[in-house]
Amino acid sequence: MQLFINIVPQAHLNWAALTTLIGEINSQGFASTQLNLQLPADQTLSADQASTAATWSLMINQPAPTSIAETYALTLRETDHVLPGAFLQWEQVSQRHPASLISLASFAESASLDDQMTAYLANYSAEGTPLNTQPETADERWIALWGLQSYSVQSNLQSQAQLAQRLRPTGILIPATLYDNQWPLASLNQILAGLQQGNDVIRLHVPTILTRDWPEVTPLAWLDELETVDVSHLDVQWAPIYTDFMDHQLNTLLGVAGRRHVSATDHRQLLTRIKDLNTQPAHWWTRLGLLQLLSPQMAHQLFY
Amino acid sequence: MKYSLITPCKPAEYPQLLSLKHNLDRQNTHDFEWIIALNGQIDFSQPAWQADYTIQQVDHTPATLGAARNAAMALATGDWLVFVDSDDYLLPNALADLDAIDRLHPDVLGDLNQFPTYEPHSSFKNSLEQTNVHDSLPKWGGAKKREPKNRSLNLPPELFDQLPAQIDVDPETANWLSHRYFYIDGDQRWDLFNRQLKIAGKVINRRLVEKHHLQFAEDRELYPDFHFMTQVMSHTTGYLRLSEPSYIRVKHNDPINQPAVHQLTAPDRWQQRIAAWQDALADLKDPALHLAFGTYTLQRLHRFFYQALATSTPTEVDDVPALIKQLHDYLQMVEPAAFKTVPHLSRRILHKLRRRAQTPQTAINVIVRLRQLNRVIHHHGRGVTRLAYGWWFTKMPVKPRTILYESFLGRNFSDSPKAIYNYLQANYPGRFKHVWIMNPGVEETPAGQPNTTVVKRFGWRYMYYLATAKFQVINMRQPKWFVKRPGTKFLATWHGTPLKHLVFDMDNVASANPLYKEIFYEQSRQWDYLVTANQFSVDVFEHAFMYPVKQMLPSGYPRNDILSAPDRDEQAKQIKLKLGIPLDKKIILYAPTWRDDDYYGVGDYKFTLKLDIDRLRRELGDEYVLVLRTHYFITEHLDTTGFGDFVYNESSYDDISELYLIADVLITDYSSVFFDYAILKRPILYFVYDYEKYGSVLRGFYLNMEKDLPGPLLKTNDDVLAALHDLPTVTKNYAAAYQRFSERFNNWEDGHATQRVVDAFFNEDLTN
Repeated sequence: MQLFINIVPQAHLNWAALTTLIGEINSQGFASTQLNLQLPADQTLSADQASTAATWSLMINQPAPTSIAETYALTLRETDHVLPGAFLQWEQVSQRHPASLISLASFAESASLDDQMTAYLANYSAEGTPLNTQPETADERWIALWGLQSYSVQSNLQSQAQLAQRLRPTGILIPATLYDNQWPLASLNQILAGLQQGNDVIRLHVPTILTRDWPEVTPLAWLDELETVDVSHLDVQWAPIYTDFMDHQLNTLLGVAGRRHVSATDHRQLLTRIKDLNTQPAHWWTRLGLLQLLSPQMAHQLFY
Repeated sequence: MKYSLITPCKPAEYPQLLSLKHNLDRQNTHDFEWIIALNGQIDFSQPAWQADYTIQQVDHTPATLGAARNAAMALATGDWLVFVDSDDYLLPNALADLDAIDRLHPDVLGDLNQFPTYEPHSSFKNSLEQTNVHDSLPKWGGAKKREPKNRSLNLPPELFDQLPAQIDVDPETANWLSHRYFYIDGDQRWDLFNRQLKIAGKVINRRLVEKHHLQFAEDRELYPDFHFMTQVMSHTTGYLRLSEPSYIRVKHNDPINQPAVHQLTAPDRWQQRIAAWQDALADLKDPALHLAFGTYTLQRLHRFFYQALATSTPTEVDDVPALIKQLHDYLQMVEPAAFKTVPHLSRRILHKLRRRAQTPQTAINVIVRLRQLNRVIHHHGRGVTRLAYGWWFTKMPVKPRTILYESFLGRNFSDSPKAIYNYLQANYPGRFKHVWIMNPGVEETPAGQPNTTVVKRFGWRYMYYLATAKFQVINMRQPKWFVKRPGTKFLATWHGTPLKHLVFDMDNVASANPLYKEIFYEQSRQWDYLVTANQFSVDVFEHAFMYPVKQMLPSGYPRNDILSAPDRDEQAKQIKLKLGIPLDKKIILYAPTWRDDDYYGVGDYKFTLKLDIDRLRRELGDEYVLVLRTHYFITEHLDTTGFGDFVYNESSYDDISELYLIADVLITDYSSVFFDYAILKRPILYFVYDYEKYGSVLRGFYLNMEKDLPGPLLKTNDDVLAALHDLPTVTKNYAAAYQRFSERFNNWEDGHATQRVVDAFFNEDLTN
């Protein structure tokens, strides 16, 4: 397995976070890894940063993996984290299903990792195994977490209930055979292309990464991403699926943004843009439905 | 030698052995010997039997499963005995995975982890070769809710290098992370009791077996394992099962021709089972195991025994009083605590049986009925009419002059039942009461015609007439819970000359309902007569349905009488007028089969007409119109508005015979419609644009599509157009083939099939 890790800044590149992430990646002890930083057009690296990047063998703005065989591409934000043993776990799954998308479960970046691990382990029984799911030390916690690792082969690709964990630019391992070079690596279009070609998605159940939700952290960027998909270019059966997904995501955006994760200005901008989309909401009693009846200003006062 | 594989085999199952041999060849370790217990001679000099592991064969007496396993065990030299049945198979890693587990001590009962399927090894091997997925399993053949969803992930030892600090990982845990298994001992030891008790796929230390002189029961035809397995359990301290399924247990979907041991018909099955329980329980000294086994047996009684004894269901139990006495004796041996594990009503019955050797028949009937009622409640009332059918309607008197008709499961008013109905109405008016089963929403029904009632399928009146009508005339299958009452007569008209393999001629396919063959067999035993269209059908039905020839009516199809009627031209004119087709236009009927692999997703079927309608209209529109007859799924998705008055979409038209009558030429493919259409002696074209892709399907046909057809196989629109432009040449070129075809399939069709069927089936009921 060769990994092409594509790092996309969350907003303005957080160099300290990037340094941490690259440290975590290097400590996986995985030789065949390529790193790429996808810098937005308005950002550049300083001379020092560029020099450090060179020592990391960090490519800048490389659009796709340079080698193909057995390569998987994964997009992460620089604020995300890779947990110990992650690559080895991905490799084991990829050997069994070399041509499938692999969807990675994730812990939330916003809460304490130790607390999340403890809570996670407490939910599982260790009957029939030598595992201790109430470990006292961090190392024991890692072993217990690895011990619970499992995966499932999911062929219900269009299940709306599970689409949110599959249809996201970060946290999905894309095999080179499913890579479509007409789309950016970090894009919904890229994942949709993979879903349309593939027969199944592999879900790795126990978290191996730590991420932040796009709708929560960067709602406007998420809206941009949602809008890049042209439904008329999707396969016939995927068009209504994506429309429903979009409806659901817009409601999520309205809900999340209303909890003051964004500034008032951004909130108003978000409402205006969503209103301008003129989507027909599936249900009128949702936030999206209400927004169709109100002005963005009024909705801002009501929802924020 | 690490492993001795023990395989008992009956002489008739010899072909399965070769299949298992191919499977064992693929094991990643060959540190094993294979001992086959078979009364017969295997020629090990044959190339097929060459292997780089030892294979031995041993005879056994008596010819029972228990004696076979004992004989094989006596020859074994491996450290571990592995029990593999001849129809099952192993995944390639099974033995290697087991080998890697440190926890498998001699005092542990090992299990390769059974995975039930209906997919035989040959089919699974083929699917493996077509994929690069390395954890493939055959199609799940167990209860849907028990299908394993999560697969465990073995992790390499290098993982420990990733720990933030160096720690000493317990070796057992380290080994477990790389080779996952499930292990229980101590207080949990008797969890999963049922799984521990099954012999297939178990791995048992040979020295442990020898030390305790453990043997299978040799004198039992059935259930030889209980004593052996419970003794093994009592002499082991833990149970270890591989996390991933490795032992593929092939279930049998043809219990009529290839019954598994548990499917063998044995009226004394319960007696044998309880006797085996008695033997096993008597020798169990460990109180916890004694209780666990007693609990297991009571749960089996609770789940299966009452149904076998209830008077409302057909009972196949021999000598009930002796059985009850035997059960009474057995229950004395069971720990009182075990009774507490079964639900209240069941416990009362078991306590009664324990106190007195007398059948508590009323309580048994009550519990069976309450279970039926519970099922209905669980399904929010669905099935309540069926309950009424079983409980009450089947107890009501049979109505001697009532006929119940069903065509295509109530989807339309058509086919041979319609022809029989029309004939009786015309020739025996007022003689019978006719009841037609129709689904809601069907447009053309016989409602309003004299002496005719239309009932909704599965409704109250349907259940009433299904139970009380003396005659049933049905062209597909009756419900599997249908009760054939004494004095009633069942006419199966069936619905076509068979083209694709049917029932017992079908492969052991994983996609078919696993119980299909058995259910079909039971249902067809309820048919008094089966209508056949030709000698070919008689021959096919004899093996495909295993149906006795003497009960087949060699009559031709009633539905086809219309095609030979003296006034068929006048009828055709009326049908054209009804459909609004100009009388001066000739008609092309296009009736392709439905390709069930051609869909976007559930309920969203693709249908791109491969026939170039636009070109057909351009070139033939002055002379012809096109009538489309496709699957009803497709009808709903097909937009023919762009083709003006050239295309008539008659996919929902009830009676296809009437469409045959008006058609001047038929274009079809792999659908059996051409058997009937050929009665008209009009040209037939086969538009088989995906003929190569259909190869695997064609192998399941009774006809050779290259040789037996009365028309040309055309693969492109050019070919079709060319043939349509010059139909006289097609007719001339295929005259001899058409003649042969007609003689083979249609020489009974003289327009009087209905009369022959009615006379034979109703017989004296027409006049008495």
